[in-house]
Amino acid sequence: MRDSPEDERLLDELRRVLDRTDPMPEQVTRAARESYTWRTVDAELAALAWDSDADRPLASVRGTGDARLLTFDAEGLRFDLEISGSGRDRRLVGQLVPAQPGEVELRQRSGLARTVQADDAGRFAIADLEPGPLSLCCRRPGAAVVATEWFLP
Amino acid sequence: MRTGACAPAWRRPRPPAPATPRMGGAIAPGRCATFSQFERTGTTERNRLVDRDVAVLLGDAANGDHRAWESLVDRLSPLLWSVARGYRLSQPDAEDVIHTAWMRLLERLDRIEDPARVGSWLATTVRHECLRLLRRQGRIVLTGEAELDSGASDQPTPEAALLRAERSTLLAHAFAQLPQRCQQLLRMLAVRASYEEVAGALDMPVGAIGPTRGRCLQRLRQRLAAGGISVSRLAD
Repeated sequence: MRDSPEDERLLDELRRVLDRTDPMPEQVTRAARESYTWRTVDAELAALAWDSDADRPLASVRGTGDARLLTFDAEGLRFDLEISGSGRDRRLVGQLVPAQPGEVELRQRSGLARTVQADDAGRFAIADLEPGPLSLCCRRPGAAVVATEWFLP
Repeated sequence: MRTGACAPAWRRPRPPAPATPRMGGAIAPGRCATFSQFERTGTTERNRLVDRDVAVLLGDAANGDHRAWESLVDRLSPLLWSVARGYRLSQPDAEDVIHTAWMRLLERLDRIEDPARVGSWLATTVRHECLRLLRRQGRIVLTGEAELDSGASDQPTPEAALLRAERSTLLAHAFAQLPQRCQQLLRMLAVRASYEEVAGALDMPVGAIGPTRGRCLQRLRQRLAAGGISVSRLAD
């Protein structure tokens, strides 16, 4: 399927116009390039199993006060999360299931990991989330590292 | 001809030439150049060469090669930008969605079923995240077939930026008048997305892309012609 030369020229011209009216900012590639260091090769991946947002009727808008509930599931460990607030005032409250203590690391764009301890009931909380995608990583003695899929809260 | 991580593998072999861009501005050292610099090859040929290269980069990145990852990011990010902006996401939202897609890939680097098609995997992931975000923002209205809101967002459209060259202005305005579906498609084709990548990003059957492309380019030409007539300068 070859493009006609006239079509090619028009698309080339359009690309030049878009390069000028809507260039891709440099931080798009920079953020992704730098994120390579987040790769945790041996971590088990906890996939998104449930999202309260997916259940809402399409036309409704979530109020800024409403919390979002998310569940991430790996074999042997589940993360039940509640994210509330907006802008720079977002916080995350979580629960490890089955209930157990563990070290929970918050991974975000900035590259700096923040670590909190889940208590004996498996509960933990993290405040002042940065905007952008995040992932949680749980380390427990004698168990495999489990990381949630990266998601955009 | 530049070699290394930034060399475009799909460029036709040519005698060595100085790496001066046709557009203004020098390539910053260590940075990959924009697509504007390179000549267009036919769609099928470009896909063959790029896909093989992309599969190799993915494999190397999975083996711990940071530079291969960076090359992959540089190569495919313009495609993802065209998808996210095609869905009318704001610039910060588009950045977040694209970053999320890259992180999703990172966590599955050694488990991608079809490495040569990672472009379309990423484009599809960006679509899903765009729709999720638009749904949260209340910007999706279901009317039988899911449509995106056609009302003006409160962000200035990319196409509203003023340009010096009149022809460019005409083209920008003509493009902005196209139905959103056409804008989405042409944005992706302008950055040389493969038909598979388009299918993934726009949830369009591959067989429909060629005909839709033809119709959209036709409409663009019509609006260009209409815009040209209304311009008061003389056409010699």
